[in-house]
Amino acid sequence: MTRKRLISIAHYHPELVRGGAQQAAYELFKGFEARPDYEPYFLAAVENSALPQLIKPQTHIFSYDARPNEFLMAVRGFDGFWQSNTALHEAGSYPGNSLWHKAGWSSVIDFLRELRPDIIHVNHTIYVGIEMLRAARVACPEARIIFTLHEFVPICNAYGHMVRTNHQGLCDKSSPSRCALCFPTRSPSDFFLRDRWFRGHFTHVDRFVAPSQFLRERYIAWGIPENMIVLIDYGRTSEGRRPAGVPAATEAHNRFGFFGQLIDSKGIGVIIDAVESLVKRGVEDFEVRIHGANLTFASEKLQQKFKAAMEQYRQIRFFGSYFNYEFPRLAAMVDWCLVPSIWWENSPLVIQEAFMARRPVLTGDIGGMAEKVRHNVDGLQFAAGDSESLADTMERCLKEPALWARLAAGIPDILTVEEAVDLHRSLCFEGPLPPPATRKLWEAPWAEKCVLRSPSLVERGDD
Amino acid sequence: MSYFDEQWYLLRYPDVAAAVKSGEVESGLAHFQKKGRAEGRLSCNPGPAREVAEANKVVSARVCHFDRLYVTSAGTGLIVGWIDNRGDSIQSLAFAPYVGDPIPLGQQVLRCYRNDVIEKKPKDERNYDYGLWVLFEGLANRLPHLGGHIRAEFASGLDSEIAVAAHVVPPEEMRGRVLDAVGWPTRLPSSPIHLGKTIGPILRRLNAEVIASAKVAAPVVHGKRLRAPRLSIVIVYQRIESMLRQAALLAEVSSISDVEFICVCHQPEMASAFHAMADSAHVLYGLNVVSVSASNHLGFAKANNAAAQIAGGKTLLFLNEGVIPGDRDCLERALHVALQVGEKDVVGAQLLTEDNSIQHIGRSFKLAGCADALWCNDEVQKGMPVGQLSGDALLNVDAVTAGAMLVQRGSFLDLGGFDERYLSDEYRDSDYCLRARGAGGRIAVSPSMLFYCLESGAAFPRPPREWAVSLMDQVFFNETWRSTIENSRASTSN
Repeated sequence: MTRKRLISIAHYHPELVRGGAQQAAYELFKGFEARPDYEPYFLAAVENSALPQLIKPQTHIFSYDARPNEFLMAVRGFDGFWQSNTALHEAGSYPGNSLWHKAGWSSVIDFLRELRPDIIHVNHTIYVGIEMLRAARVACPEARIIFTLHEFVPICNAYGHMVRTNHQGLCDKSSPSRCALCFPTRSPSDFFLRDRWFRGHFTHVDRFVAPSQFLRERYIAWGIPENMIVLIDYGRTSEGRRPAGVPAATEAHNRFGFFGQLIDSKGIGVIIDAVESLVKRGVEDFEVRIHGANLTFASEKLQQKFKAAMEQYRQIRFFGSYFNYEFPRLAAMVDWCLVPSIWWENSPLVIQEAFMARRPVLTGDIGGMAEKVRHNVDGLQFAAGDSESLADTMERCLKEPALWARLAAGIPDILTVEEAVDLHRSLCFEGPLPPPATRKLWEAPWAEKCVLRSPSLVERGDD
Repeated sequence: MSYFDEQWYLLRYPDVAAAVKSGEVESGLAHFQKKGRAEGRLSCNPGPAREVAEANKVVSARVCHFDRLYVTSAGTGLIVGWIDNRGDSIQSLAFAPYVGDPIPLGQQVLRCYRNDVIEKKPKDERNYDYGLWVLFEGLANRLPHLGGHIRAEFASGLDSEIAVAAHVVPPEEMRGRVLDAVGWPTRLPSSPIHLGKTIGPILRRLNAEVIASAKVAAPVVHGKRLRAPRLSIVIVYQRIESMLRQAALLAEVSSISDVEFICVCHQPEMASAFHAMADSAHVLYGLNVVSVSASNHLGFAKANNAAAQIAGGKTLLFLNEGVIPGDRDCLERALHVALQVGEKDVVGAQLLTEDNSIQHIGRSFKLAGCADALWCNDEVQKGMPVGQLSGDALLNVDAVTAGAMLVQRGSFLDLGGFDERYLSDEYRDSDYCLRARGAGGRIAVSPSMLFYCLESGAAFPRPPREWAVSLMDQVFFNETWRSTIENSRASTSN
């Protein structure tokens, strides 16, 4: 039996840097590992500045931890605005130079050619570099290139969150002028070029995957043809799945849990303000357990606020960071999960993990969060970013005795890894691909006017 | 600094008094300045004059100071200093080298603000920051490295002679210092004509000296060199990372494998990184690239001319680093237009900004709204919604931008390429178009040759240095082409 070779490329290895997108990519890779008709490989970027001890000198790609099918790619320079792996352009000098050796991207192309994958599944451009799509096409012209979108980085330079940097409001569309307002040191032409730069590389993607309908619609509005982007949520392993009917952590249902990065966009500030509001209302018999890391990446203001809140409110308890495998145990200690992100979100893994632990979720009413949590069915929605609204919702949780059981009973089963594998096979890796669009993603709207075609093109029948 | 006492002079020298009385000379001071000093006559009573001289030293320190004298071995000099002559105006300024005759500087003096002077001068209510700088030539045979004296003569008869040591600098540094100086703030902007006529020619000669010393390195070929490319695309990069952005999009257009790219690095210190990026442009994006660097800044004109020499195609397309394709057939259309371009013709493209408004669709010339009445570039329809998209018809225009310009290589080189005397790239393309027309060529725009041209966030108002350089080039352009343009206008109206 000829096995299909699949290489999955991610911006981090989840064992080195924890995070949702890389976790999902890795679990999917493991899912394909279990199939006899697939031969999967995993390539993850690793930053030289973050983990220099892992970087091997004078090479760009090397195996990881003696595993035969897992590799790391050293990232020695990266430009966030262009999502460009800059060091791979600089490496190697040039022909004729006495110090010349192959440029970095040549090494990547050689690696892919050596591997001969049938499918190249790219999960991110951060640290990997958007150029990986081009390198993949050059190396393996016949391979399928699949790209999973985890956030809005190609559309939005503000960490891909689509939250305005000036007034901190939500953003629903990009344009060169609009984006320049968020980044005054950049001109509209910079953003136009950035947009074209992404689109030019995306031309080589055979299929896009969106983990949420919300994200899928945003990218369709941006310009990806509808038939080019499919909806496949993250598939999760069976570990940590609890059966329906498991009890709450407390009789009073007064324990809330936050699990995630302690950064501004995840809404930690909203939780603190909601606690303050509840205490002011005289509602004090509850607890908020905070599990997570990366507080140092939060704004100075939030760091100060967090530290002050720890001292001021006995209701808030901080438990530090956690590993994924610890989540079921930690979730069992709370009744509710809080997902108060102040950006749109795509398909937060923590919502899936909360459901797997049979815990109803309180979440903002926008974007991917609102898509994954059905109000009054398996959780509750509150006005995103509004601490008073969150406080009202939390108070409801505390004062409606039957609410928890009803919502817990409504929690759906989460997509398994096996199901995700099957969906990837049928929709992306093996099934027929959509026909190419008349106008390429990077071409201007006026490109469709056939009058632009010169007579020589008409003669060769390209009309 | 010497002090002149009119009354004492006339009493001391009766012959002078008689000459003044008869009208032979206007005054004792006039006599002293014309003859008396050379004859060794005293300007005032020596006794009190000594005290005055001491006092004058203090006054001198308050009235003027010359910080620096920069010189090149070719004899260009730059003086930087300040003068506070509100109470007593300068009559003349000259530089007297230790060897050779003095060089009068009067017309070359340019005023500027110097905030730092306030710190040096005693503060009083009249204090202000009147700086000056002077660019001059003529030191070549006068052993410039020895320095000399700067002599200033005032209306009162006071004169100042201040010794200055010369700092010998290479022409590139001199050019940089002069370009800094043209950007210094002034209370009133210099008349463009004055700036263009006093500083422009010297700066151009300096620039030519710098460019002449720049060595173009051997071109680096990435991949195989095309034997007979259908087109040679020439791009000079000031920001080397622009190459990758362009390459990524140009890689998506049809016929890209039939053309070669001659890419010139305009940042000598980045040459190594530039060649590495050119290699990426070939390896990742499949472009046939020849990358070129130089030991020094070539200037855009020379960089393009050097690239034209290296190019292998019969037809050249000069592109700006901000030009990107808008559709996959843009190059094919350009190749089609190239077949129509006559030997001496110059054909430009229609360029759009990011919002699909016109960035360029040909140029005319108009009189700038200032007293000096200089002809300047007029970008027709700039900012208007995109124009004609269809058809192969060429539109006749006065000039086109070198941001997207199609020429036949042989004719381009025969005509001397772009004029390297221009300090910026604002008028070199219009200059070339007028030369080509003079040689019998047609100047036109092909609306179907359509690209985006992304202008980086241009500072407004323009930085003073950039504005001053642009003015000097404008003056130079007018010196060369004013009569041609006006005659052309006159014959058109008839």
